Amino acid sequence: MAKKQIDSVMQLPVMPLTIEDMTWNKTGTWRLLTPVQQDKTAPCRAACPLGQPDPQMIHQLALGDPAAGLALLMAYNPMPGVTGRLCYHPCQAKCLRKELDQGIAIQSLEKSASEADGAPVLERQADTGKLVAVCGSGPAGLAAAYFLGLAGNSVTVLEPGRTAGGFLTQAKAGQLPPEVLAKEVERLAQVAGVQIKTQAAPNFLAGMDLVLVDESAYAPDSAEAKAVLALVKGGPEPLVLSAEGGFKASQVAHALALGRETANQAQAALGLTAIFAQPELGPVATAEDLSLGFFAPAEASEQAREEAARCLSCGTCNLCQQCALSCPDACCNLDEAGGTIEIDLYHCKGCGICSYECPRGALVMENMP
Amino acid sequence: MKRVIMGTETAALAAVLARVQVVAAYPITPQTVTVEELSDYIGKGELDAAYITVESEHSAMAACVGASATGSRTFTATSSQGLALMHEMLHHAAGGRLPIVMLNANRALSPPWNLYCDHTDSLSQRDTGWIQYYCCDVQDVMDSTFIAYRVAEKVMLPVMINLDGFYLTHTSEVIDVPDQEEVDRYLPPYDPADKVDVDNPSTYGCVCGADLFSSLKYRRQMETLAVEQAWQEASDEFAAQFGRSHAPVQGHNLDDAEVVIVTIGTAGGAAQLAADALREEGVAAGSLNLAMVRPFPYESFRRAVSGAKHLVVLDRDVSFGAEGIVAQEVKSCLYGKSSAQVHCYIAGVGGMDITEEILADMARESLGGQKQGLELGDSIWIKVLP
Ligand code: SF4
Ligand code: SF4
Repeated sequence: MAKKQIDSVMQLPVMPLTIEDMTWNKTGTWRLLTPVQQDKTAPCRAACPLGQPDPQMIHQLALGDPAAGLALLMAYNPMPGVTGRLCYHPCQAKCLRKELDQGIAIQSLEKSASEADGAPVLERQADTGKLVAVCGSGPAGLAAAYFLGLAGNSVTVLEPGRTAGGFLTQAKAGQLPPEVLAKEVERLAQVAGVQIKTQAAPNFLAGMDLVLVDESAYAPDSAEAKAVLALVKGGPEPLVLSAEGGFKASQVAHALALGRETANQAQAALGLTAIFAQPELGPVATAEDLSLGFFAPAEASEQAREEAARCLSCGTCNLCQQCALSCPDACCNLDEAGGTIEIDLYHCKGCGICSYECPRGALVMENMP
Repeated sequence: MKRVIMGTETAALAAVLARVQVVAAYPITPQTVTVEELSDYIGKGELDAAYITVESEHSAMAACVGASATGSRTFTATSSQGLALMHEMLHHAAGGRLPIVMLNANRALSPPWNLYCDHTDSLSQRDTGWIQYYCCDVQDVMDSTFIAYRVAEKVMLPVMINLDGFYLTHTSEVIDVPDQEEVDRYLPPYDPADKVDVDNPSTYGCVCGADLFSSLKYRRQMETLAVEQAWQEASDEFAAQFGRSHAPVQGHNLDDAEVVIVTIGTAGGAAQLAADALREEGVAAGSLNLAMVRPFPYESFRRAVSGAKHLVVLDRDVSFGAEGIVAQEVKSCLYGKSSAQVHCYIAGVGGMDITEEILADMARESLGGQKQGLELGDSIWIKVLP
């Protein structure tokens, strides 16, 4: 906007008050440092073996949308209802809310999201025409099948036993009820378009483009482990998912991560591009990044939504708009779609107040040309 | 209605009749009675106004600035040290073009401590941009309050009404108290074009760059200089309605006067008597009560003293390192326009009484009579130790 032209003192107001806005004054030319909205990784996420976006998932729960939270989880984790019960939750040990009062019950929230109605619709790549068999249905094998399914391959899981789940079938019923496991397996199969065949007999796997064997599905040297290995006898050289000493139930997230990683190797073996892009986690938010003064103490709650509302969203912009309130030049604003904070660089003079005020350390001042 | 009433009570009653809507004031001798009376009026519901209690005069004026910006008729009262503490906010009120009216009880500034009349307090606020009016008697306190609001709200500038501490604040006189309807007829409600409005937000006292700053000051100076005329008109209209005039310059026997005694405040009465006494001695003497010091009433003053050869100026103040402030003002007004001699007398500071004889003796000295005081720089000090 051009500056208003004033030709006579009588055009000025008697009282010294606003006669126009100041948008003509491009104070952005004064700037030395530039504010950049840049999320840091929350420490809970950094501690997660699957690197799943816990704060974002918790934010959806706080908004009252567990299905959206579940979709976020299932982009990383095919079995959130299992990890939400069995995982040793290293996330919670790192929760920064402890600096204020009590850490967030992240695992309960994960379980709560996993109980959302229906199955999320995740993007499935176009059909590749490749046939893949996964022998053994431990969490690693299921995760590999899941991600390979999402990549557009025709995937069949062959499980010699009666029930899919590998070592998960041996978890204490109090911790993981069999019907929960069954539902989780069914859901991941549905989401990724994977076929699961139980009581599969040893078979000749010729015709498959790739065969994977989940050696980690059962404790090494157990009868079940031997049955899984028997499935691939005489077939082509398989890609093996193994872990030294096998996995304990509490290490399920590590097993899932192994499967996810193996899915990428399988893609390479099939001459396809990787399916799961490991997120760039960058710097991890620390207590020093937070402005704890902005957060009121709040009791832990059994109610998922209330508990979720306690999450500080460490290092992650949750559109609280404290920056918008703080900027003396009204330069920080929600973009039109309301999804991100936009900074008006024509007028931002680089004072840094927004960065200082951001309660979660998600705005940094950068030396930019 | 006739009433025997004291200067400070009169100021409060005048504010009530002017229907002020906000009062923010801090008590200080010798103004205290005004503030007490106003809080009583408001507390008893006899005046429909908000009384804002504050912890200092700076805050009092800050509150008045905010209140006035919302379009409320605003009143305050102070004195001496209190006025000095307000200094920053005085600039804000005038620069913000806020028509606040304030009573100032003229009192000496410390140290040493002295509670009595002295004009240095208000005169040292000359350059804040306030209109300054000095009352000569209790009726003047009542009437000039109405004129002050009428002028202030027309020209959008604040007015300081000055009362000589104790001589006027604590003297009771018989005065005419006008009816509310009469006052309402003279002083309609305040309804400014611009006021703080949440539905139409604007920054009051916003930033202004060098490109417009001097133009704004130029316009303010233009409009401040026009106050002499505006006040004269408001005084004429007041005279038409109430039969009493309170012009910026009030003369007594000036038509043929060769010697004119110039005073501000209550000394005007004694100056008239002194001039009359000199007339009896055959001296063509008159007196001039300079009621308005800011803006300086250049036109009326030059006209009033056009035939004078000697101006005897009483200063109940001093600008250290220069001379009496009123004398400086008079000299500056007449420079290049008159060949009259200006004699500056510093007397009556800190409550020393100014009598008719003292004033007459000053006039006699300026005509070649006996020496009256001690000459120091360009002024003569009366009743000081050698
Ligand atoms: S407060 Fe929220 S984002 Fe921060 S560590 Fe805890 S769960 Fe993660
Ligand atoms: S507070 Fe506003 S002006 Fe200051 S750096 Fe942030 S965006 Fe720029």
